[in-house]
Amino acid sequence: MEEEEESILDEFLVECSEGLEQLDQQFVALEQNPTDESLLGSIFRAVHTIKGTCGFLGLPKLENVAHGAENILSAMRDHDMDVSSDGITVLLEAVDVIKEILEHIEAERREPDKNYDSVRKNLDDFLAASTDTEAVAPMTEAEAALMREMAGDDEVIVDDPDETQSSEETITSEATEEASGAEAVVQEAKSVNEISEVPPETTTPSPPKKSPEPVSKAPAATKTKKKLSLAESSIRVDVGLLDKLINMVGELVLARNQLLQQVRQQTETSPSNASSGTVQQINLITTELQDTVMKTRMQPIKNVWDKFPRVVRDLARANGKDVDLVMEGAETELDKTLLEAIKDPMTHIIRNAADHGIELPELRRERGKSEKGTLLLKAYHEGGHINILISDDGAGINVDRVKNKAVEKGVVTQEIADKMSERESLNLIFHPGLSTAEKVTNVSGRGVGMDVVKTNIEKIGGTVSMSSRIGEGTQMRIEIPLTLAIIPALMVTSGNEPFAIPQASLLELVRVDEESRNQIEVIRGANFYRLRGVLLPLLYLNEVLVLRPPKVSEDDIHSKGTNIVVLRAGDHSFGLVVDTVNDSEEIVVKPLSRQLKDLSYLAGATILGDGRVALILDVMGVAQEGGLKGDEQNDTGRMVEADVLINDEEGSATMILFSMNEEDRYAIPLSEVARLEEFDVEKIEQSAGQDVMQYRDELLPLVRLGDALGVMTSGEENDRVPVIVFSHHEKSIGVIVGRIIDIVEAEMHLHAAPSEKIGVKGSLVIDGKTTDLLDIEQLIECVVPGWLEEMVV
Amino acid sequence: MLTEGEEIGRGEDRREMDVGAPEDQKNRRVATADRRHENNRQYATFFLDTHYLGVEVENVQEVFTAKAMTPVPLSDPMIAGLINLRGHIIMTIDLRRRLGFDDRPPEDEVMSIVVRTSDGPVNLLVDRIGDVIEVRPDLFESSPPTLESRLKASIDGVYKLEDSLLLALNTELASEVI
Repeated sequence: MEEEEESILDEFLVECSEGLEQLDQQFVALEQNPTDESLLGSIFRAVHTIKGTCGFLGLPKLENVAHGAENILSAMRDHDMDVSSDGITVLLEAVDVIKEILEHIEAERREPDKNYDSVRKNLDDFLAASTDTEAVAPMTEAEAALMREMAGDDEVIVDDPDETQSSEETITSEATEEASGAEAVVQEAKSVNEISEVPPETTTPSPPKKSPEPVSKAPAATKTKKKLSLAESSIRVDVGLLDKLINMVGELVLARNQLLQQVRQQTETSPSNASSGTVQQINLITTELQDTVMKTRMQPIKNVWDKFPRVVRDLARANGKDVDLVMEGAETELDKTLLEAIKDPMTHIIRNAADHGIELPELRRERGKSEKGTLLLKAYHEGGHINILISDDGAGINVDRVKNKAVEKGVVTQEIADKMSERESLNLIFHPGLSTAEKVTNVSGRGVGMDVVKTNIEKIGGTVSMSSRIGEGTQMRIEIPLTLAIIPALMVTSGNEPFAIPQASLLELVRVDEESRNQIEVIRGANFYRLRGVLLPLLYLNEVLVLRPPKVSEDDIHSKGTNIVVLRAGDHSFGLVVDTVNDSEEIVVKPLSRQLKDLSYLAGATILGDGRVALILDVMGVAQEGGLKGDEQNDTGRMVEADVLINDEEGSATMILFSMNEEDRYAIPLSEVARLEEFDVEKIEQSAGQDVMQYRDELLPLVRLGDALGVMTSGEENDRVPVIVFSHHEKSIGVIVGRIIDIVEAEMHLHAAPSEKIGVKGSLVIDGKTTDLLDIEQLIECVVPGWLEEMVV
Repeated sequence: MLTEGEEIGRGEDRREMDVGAPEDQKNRRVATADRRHENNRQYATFFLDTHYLGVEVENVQEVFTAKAMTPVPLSDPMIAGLINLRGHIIMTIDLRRRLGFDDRPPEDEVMSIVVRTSDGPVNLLVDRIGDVIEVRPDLFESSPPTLESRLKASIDGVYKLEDSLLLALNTELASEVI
């Protein structure tokens, strides 16, 4: 516990000193260029981060000063106050004070005894003098109310005898016992609830005078012997230098490999070669050197996550919540720079989730959820990316409230907001200056969080997306590229070229012998493999990438069998056919030239042991390139997609339900349907023996489904008949059905049809009734032969 | 020698390219051309087919006999592939294709010139390497307007040497695969 706290504090100090170094320069730059909003934003974020971190480290004085500075910056950012030299001076003074406090903390592991209330007062006075008071008043009131509320909550916690307290809090209680009178109440509230707001206003009890700080007391005794300043015990190295080092080691490894090979040949010719011992040693050292150098950059995501339990715990306690933090995949390694880059965004997201996402226990009980909220962190490699999921089972995000807020803040107009989809509305959260938090607390709700999250993640080429369901929770997904990461990959060759496939996408390897080649089925040019009774769509890597065929005869390949690498691309799986499957290797992902970034199948490149360059496949991109996940533009892609959907036992799809004669029921996936129409029977004409209809200035061929299926069609005597229109490219075809019943979401749990019938894929049970799933392409093919082929051309 | 048909084909090309040539490329070319009037400049020279070209020496990282490279499927045909240069993966551009020359006969020797660009080093494939020569600025002339478009879009201009013309390649532009 102590050690953990120490490391958090150390980290904080390093972080702050870095931030402050820049702050001075930035302030000066801002003074010269007062309208630079991005600079102002950057300063604001830096100060905000210092303030926020102080909150949960229990450094009230530092927080107090930082908060005062932040209020002014906030006013400047909102244009409630002009950026003036006076303002900068006041802020710079505050920065100096912050530095002074930080130096003291680093030396003594606690805040100085000195009282900094006057500094805060200066800041507040300046704020009050420079802003229109009406603009500030509501916020200060809210803060005061919050303070009172929190103080109230804390007393409940402290009084609760069942409440288990950590040693540090016991110290706090003892410490506060020594304090006297009304002030003790405030201090107790403050020290236990380490992240509560420091009241800047006079409406609340006077700010705390010096009292023993909980964090400082315990470590002070143990750490007095620590003489080295943090700056001396670690050294900052330019990342570029490390890169150079890694590359040189890579070269060394290659040279070593060649050396080994030469020595091996020499030993064969003259066994008495004495240098082999030395070579062996070089070999070992090189390997060790390589490992060590790699380690300088790669770190498990755990290093960032380690501080989150504390953050969540403190936040939960402060708000009277019960939150369980679950972490999965903490060992996932990624590059130091990436790790650094995701640290702040993740902290923001987690604070948001714990602060706003997860509800109070009572509310959770009312909503029928367990009182303990769960916050799940999950990291994993997928499709050439590292995914980080942060999900909570909290209240979810009220999309309407987000929209209202956005309109209120002038981010979007009401008209645009009304037209926005749910997803678009959710994305408004990433807009700068938008926060739906009703109250401004010292950890979240300034409206800086989410826009920082987005910019920081995008800076490293990643993406953030979120989904939320009211009452069920919110999920944020951070996807970052593998740049510079080391990943396990399966090495394969196709068309004589080596390729690396990220192991994370790999499901299994299948080898089909010549004898069992009949297990590979061909449906209109698309290949499938029967994998344990399920049809697996196959892509041939050399065809997808238009590679030269390998320099072996076709018979040769066949006699060697077919190597299928079964891969997962998102929700689908497919088989990638390659020429040979080699070893699995740890590869270093190297970035590619900007000019190659457009190639979707390419995730990067790596250097093989023999010095050759191998391309790393983006599994998702290969699937796309192969038409597996296309926009249903080409026929093969469509068919494959439909098949994948059916193979997926868990999958569900939207279906159109209809009947021909009230006794039967049929279904067609809605995704295959262009339109539903109702036509006048009288308007149906004949052309070349085919029913047609003048429709949208064209002749729409019509198919009577009843005839095709060989069943009675009821309702044919009616004046109007329902028609399902299918479109492929420019062409459309209409299918006359009996009666359209409904559009439903149905599980794609396909049963084999009792008897095989043309155009019927199988049976589904929808709403308790057996429903035939139609293969509309086959039916059309049957009635209007050649229509599909023509369409492909 | 070119046949008549190819000449016409290139003429068409030029019209397209001129319309599409980005404004900043033209400006950049002018800027470098102006600078050239001050001192003698050193050029690392090479040959492409029968043409004599050069890149400014300070932009050249190294020169070597072209080594085996990994092709990048589905990329522009000008991109010959990727090579490993001491741990860096470097894109290789076939300068013949980039500048609109005919492909070199497969049995011919190929040389690599690695040039520095704002997007990192880029490997250019050329036919033969020549000497490093010093040229007087007064011999410089901006690209003649009748020059083949792809070539014109990639050079700063021409040095009128005594016995030949030296095409001054602009490495930034030449390594941009449009």
